[in-house]
Amino acid sequence: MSSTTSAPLSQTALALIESRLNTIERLLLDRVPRQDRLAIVQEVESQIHHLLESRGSENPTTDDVLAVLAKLDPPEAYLGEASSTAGPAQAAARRPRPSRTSPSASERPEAPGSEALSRASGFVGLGGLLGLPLLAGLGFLLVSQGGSEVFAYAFLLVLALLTGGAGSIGIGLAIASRRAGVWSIVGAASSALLLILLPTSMACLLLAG
Amino acid sequence: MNAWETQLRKGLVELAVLAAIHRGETYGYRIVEELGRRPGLEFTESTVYPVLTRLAREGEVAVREEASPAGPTRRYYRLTAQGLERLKEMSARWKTMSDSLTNLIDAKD
Repeated sequence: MSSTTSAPLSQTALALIESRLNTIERLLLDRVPRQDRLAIVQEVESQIHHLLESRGSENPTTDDVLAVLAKLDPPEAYLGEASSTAGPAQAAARRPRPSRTSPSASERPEAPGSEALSRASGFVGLGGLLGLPLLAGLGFLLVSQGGSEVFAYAFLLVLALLTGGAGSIGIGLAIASRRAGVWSIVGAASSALLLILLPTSMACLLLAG
Repeated sequence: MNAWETQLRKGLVELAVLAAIHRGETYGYRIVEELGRRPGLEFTESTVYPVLTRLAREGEVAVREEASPAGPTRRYYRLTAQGLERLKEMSARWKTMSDSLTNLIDAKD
């Protein structure tokens, strides 16, 4: 779209006007019929030149153009109005088209029960994370109270199985839930932390023994 | 401007634009200026222009293009018979609703 005016505009000034008009046209693409889109842009262009003329300057400068553009509605303002005044055909055109690329994780349809799996992952992970210090503390108390070495090793084994199992199950559930929702993230993170803390806890108990 | 007022104004913009054009053949920015002078009808160009182009597409206004002193071609709008009919219909409905609401607010009946 070319801008013409009775007063010569510099290339920079023309480029500023063109840029504004192109932005409006781009935003209206697929929102209003082509005929309407071109007419709206034409109106805006006409308004810009009308406002430039009303400033009284024989040779409008870039500053004049910037001042005029600053008075106009921003291009984004046309989005709301275009949506509310478009007809049914345009509303249909605005419906999201199916993407050719594979959907992102957030767009993938949730498998049945994935939310339940996600919650289970969260509970198992958090439960394990909270239970580990309790169990470790209990073990420490028992061992330090003069429990036998066999008992200590047996307790360690149980601790390892429980926490390691909880951590693995939590991560497995998070994966199975396809990371649906916040709970799966909580579950995966807490389960991973559990698996990291497990050897530390066992080492502490061994040293205590 | 609260949400209620925004919704109210959205409902009135078409009537306001038709009424402004009914006063005589005019162009887009002139309509914006005309409405902007009236309290409560300060619709900006991003509201008015899409309505104008839709009214033209639907046959309520006719468009004539003419070279303007300011450079690019200017679009002049006038009401068609269909547009006049629509204006009369909307005006009548507006008056009815406006009178009823005023009476209700003033507790006259």
